[in-house]
Amino acid sequence: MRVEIILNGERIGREADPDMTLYDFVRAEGCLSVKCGCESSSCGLCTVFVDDVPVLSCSMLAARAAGHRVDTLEGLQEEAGAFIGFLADRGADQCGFCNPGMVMNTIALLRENPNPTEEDVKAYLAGNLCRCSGYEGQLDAIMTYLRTRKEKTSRLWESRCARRTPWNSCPARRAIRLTLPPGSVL
Amino acid sequence: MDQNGKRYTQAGQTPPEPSPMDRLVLDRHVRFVGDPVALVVGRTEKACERALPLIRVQYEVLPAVLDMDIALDNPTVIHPEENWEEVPGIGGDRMRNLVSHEESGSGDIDAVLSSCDVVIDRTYRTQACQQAMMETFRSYAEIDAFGRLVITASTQIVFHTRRIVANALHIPEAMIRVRKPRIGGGFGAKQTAVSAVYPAFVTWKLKKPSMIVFSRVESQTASSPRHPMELHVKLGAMKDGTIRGIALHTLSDTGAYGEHGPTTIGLSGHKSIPLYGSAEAFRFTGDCVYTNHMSSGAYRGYGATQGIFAVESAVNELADTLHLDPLAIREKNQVREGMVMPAYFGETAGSCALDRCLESVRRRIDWDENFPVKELGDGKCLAYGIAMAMQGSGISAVDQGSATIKLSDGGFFNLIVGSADMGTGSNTTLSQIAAEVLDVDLARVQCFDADTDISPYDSGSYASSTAYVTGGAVEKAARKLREKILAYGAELLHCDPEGMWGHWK
Ligand code: FES
Ligand code: FES
Repeated sequence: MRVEIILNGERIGREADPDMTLYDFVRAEGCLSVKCGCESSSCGLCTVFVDDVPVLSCSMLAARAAGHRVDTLEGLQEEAGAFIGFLADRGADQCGFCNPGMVMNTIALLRENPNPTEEDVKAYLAGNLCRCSGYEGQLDAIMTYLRTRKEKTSRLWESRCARRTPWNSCPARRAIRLTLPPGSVL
Repeated sequence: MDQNGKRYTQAGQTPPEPSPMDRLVLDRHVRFVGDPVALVVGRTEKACERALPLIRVQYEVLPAVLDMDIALDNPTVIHPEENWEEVPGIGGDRMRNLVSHEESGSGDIDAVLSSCDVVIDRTYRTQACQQAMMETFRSYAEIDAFGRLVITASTQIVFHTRRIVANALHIPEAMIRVRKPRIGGGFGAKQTAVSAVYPAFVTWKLKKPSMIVFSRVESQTASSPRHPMELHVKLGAMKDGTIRGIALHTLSDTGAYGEHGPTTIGLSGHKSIPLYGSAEAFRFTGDCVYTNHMSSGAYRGYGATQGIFAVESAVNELADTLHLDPLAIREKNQVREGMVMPAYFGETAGSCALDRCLESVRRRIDWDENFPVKELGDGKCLAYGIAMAMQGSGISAVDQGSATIKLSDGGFFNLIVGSADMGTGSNTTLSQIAAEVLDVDLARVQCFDADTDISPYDSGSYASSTAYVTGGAVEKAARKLREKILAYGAELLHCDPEGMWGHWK
């Protein structure tokens, strides 16, 4: 049977057996960010969005997605870009196999609830298994991202800089550092 | 290939191999639920699935040994075959279901125990555990333009995999190339060549590419979990808490095959008993036995975990019996820097910060205040307990690492190693070592692992070895290269290489 979906904004179609999972379908289309850790709806690694709702692609038939919008991490680079640097900075990932699923669910969380509490984050990401890390790093990274975003937008931040915070503790320092070639001394 | 001629092991260990040669790729005698019966090959996964129900297997059901306690000298012999190859000198006897037998000791342990005020005599059992890395076992194989077998495997043991496949297929190692891409975790599970042999066999026979990806269920049922063990501890001490002697007997269930069996059981004693430097005598005995369970393998701690669980539990029971502080008992008896450790192959503890570590634990978790339990209110509490552990980085005088560093025409460095970053970040660590020695920015070091045709030999990434063993090789290589560059620069600039340092970069 021919299944057509809108994959990362592009209409695509391919032959699919009736029992082909959405996981196999998007992988066959080259979306290799989508990983499989359990093939039984237990780990969250295979998360994709169907009409903006996170679903476990290992447990959804490709045919059911016909005519729908399907997004994978390949199509959400910009949205992910906002916070994945924090995961890297925190050294949260080890093997990284779980990362795409976790990032997908974080995007879904932030769309649904732009200002989650730590408890909200824990509850939302509970279905994402990571064998390597112990989750502390991911949680810490997301909370740091949320704090930094808040700081950036708050006036308090501006006035703090205006009051000439010692350079070493000014949050802007790190940001500037990131834009300079590595090794530059500030 | 004559499958029956010679057996092999899938354990990834530095030769001479310490695990018995007890496997065939496919054997007529299957020993556990999950043992391969046939290789079904098809163009698609679907085709294979269609073929499966068409295959009829007739089993002659033999009595099974499902409890390690009754395995030794059981009339049911797990490996009756004559071409089972023992590891010389480790006391194995296939007709007794015995993979290895070990006895070691120092001092007169029986005399010491009988003169102690208290003897804690306990038996502990540990379970098999799955490493459960998120990426299951997987490998693919192809024949290259030169007719050689190229295997790409999710593995921690790139070079050992080459040897294992050569042994399994009875082909020369020179005909095999093994590569490791980025992989999704290992935790010791991939220190056994669980998946590589099958596509290698298929591709070598059919001269066509093939691959195998384990499902999660297969990863849980036909893999390489931690050895379950039964540990009998006798711990002798005086009323003031002085530990005078430890006797440990370990029974280890290696399952249907002996992978990592003799070595893990050894560490259950050799990495638990030496923690107590005060002991005047020790005895460690162990039997590693075959059963009809899944074949066990390597898993973080590698036998030490089981031994430490038992000995440390016994020490806590001792503290409880004597009404002493379990942390104080450890401070009193622990091994200290410079002590000879008879139970650790007579080696001297050349570096040991255990005393400072315990002191820091006491302070940082507010032990004196919180032990044994802190009330949190609301019917909840937080219990405090303590255990010590020891771990060495790499296996001394056995494991090897090497590194090649090239200065490329683009002004950056290629660091080529044979270790296996499985998510441990070892490639970053090794690059950092090189960058530090060469005094260049990290971005100018590109690390590559691992390909048996390209990388210099490395025994692989296990036993917490890569940063230490391969890292040592990287440091040496980087120093040599720096010297060469400096000497060349000095020649061009007509100056002393030493004085070149300021111009470096
Ligand atoms: S692979 Fe789909 S939930 Fe684990
Ligand atoms: S980083 Fe390895 S599974 Fe999460």
